Amino acid sequence: MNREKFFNEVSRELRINILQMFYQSKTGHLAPALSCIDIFVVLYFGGIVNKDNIFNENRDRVILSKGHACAALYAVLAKIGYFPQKELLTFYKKNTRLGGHPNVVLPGIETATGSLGHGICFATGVAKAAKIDKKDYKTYAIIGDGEMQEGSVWEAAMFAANHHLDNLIVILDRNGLQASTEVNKIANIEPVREKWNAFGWNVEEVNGHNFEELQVVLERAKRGKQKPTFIIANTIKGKGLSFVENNPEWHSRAPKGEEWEQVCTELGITMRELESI
Amino acid sequence: MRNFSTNVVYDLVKKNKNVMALTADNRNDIYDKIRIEYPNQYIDYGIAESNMIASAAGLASCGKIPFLYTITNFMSMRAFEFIRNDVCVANQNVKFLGRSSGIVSSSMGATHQGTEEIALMRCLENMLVITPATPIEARQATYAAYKYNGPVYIRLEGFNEPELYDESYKFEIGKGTVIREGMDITIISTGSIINEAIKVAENLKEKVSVRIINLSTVKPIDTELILQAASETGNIITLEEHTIYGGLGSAVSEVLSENGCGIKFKRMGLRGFSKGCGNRDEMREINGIDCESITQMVKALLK
Repeated sequence: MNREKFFNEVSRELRINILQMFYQSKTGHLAPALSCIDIFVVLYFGGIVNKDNIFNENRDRVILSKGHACAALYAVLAKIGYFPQKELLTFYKKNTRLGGHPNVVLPGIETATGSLGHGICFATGVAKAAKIDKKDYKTYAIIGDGEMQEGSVWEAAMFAANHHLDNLIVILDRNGLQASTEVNKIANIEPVREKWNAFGWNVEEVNGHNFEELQVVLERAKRGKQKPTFIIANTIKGKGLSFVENNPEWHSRAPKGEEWEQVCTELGITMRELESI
Repeated sequence: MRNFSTNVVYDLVKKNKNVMALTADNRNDIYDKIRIEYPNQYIDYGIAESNMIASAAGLASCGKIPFLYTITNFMSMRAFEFIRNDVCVANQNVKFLGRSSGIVSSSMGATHQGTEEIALMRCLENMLVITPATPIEARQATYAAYKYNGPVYIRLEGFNEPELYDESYKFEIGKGTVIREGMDITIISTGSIINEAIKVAENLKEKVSVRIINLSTVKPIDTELILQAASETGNIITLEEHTIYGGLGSAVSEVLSENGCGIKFKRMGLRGFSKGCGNRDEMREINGIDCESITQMVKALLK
């Protein structure tokens, strides 16, 4: 199978898993998960992250700083086999390990995130520990563009560059929207590239839904020297469902009623397939 | 007290390559020695406490044992949610040495005085809270924190606090010590303010027999010692260089009320931010936690 086709299939499969979760939970942050799922596809299925050694201290670390997009990460971790895929259906339910924000109770989750501006700071410590112990694992943190409004992001930005953490790769899921409206209507974060450059980072920019571009840039980032890498991934919030895409109303809601039929139509599945994994 | 604690960090850094000394532009002479002699085990995060704490949690998740040393307010208050989410939720092995706790910063003003952090640290799941009263106790508490696997907050005041213990003292997490026996009333104190209580007991010794307990671990609390005092002396006063809301006084009153102790009880401490300027003794006087104020309270309670 060619690579593009493989990525497309994995991506479609994971989007279906995400919708299956929301069909059960009836709540959660759907659009943010759909916006970053393709980044995860390449990270975990493009050979970027060493995903087989979950309890190995030399494992690559992936930290979802924008924790509300956890449905995407859960779907990926289940597909890898960190826990049974059936467990995805417990999303948000009583006694689940798959809450509305990630917690360390679930294999593959390095730290509890959800409060923005934390995961990227945690990641600096993980990357620094690798430097001290001369380990070669990489640390990846996925942040949101709204999250860049948090001051602690910039504390981490200064620290990582000062300590030459070239083993730290931060990926910005730049979908342009935050909880209430467009990021740049609330507190403009631009110019993003110039800011991270000025803070001493190596900055890359890609289409966050283009697997080939992501693959090339992530592989280059792994070979980074001296500077940490910041990848601007331009994405579409809600990508894959036409009525969710770029619509701020979908930041934290799930489809309901007849919308589910449209979900099935757009994903090419039956209602029955939506109901079980 | 500060140097006794940070000297332990120096020894531990020497002994264990995973122990790390972290600060946010607040190094002291001993941390500076670590910086020079063990640069791989020292990080100055600059004036960026939030990142320091979450980053310390990241280090701890990789087997490091970070000892964070800086002015307590900037750590325990400004970056409180980072302690909560990044350290406590996953029970990461991070130690907090909060300097300038209490009103030791005297004329520096309310922004620099740690007067609420016992309350803040006490309510966090997994966090232990220790308020040493003396230099030797600070040293032993720092060792005890190292041996304990999980987050510990140690409240460090200043320099030259009087010593009450000798080297034979064995600090134990969760255990208070009776500093002075007495049968009429008990003063339960945490931190070096205990020295005011000792003066009170000395001044009143002809008329009143005052028991003094050093409750240096505020969490977990020594329930047994508190209940014993309640049953043997009745009357209890708590004393802390901290707000009475949520600190030692609250912790002790929780024990007393949940165990149905119908005794006379008063909390002494600050009732808000510290007031005024002055040296430490003057600050204690202005804020009503000096020997004279405590003496009045003892008399009033026994009336």
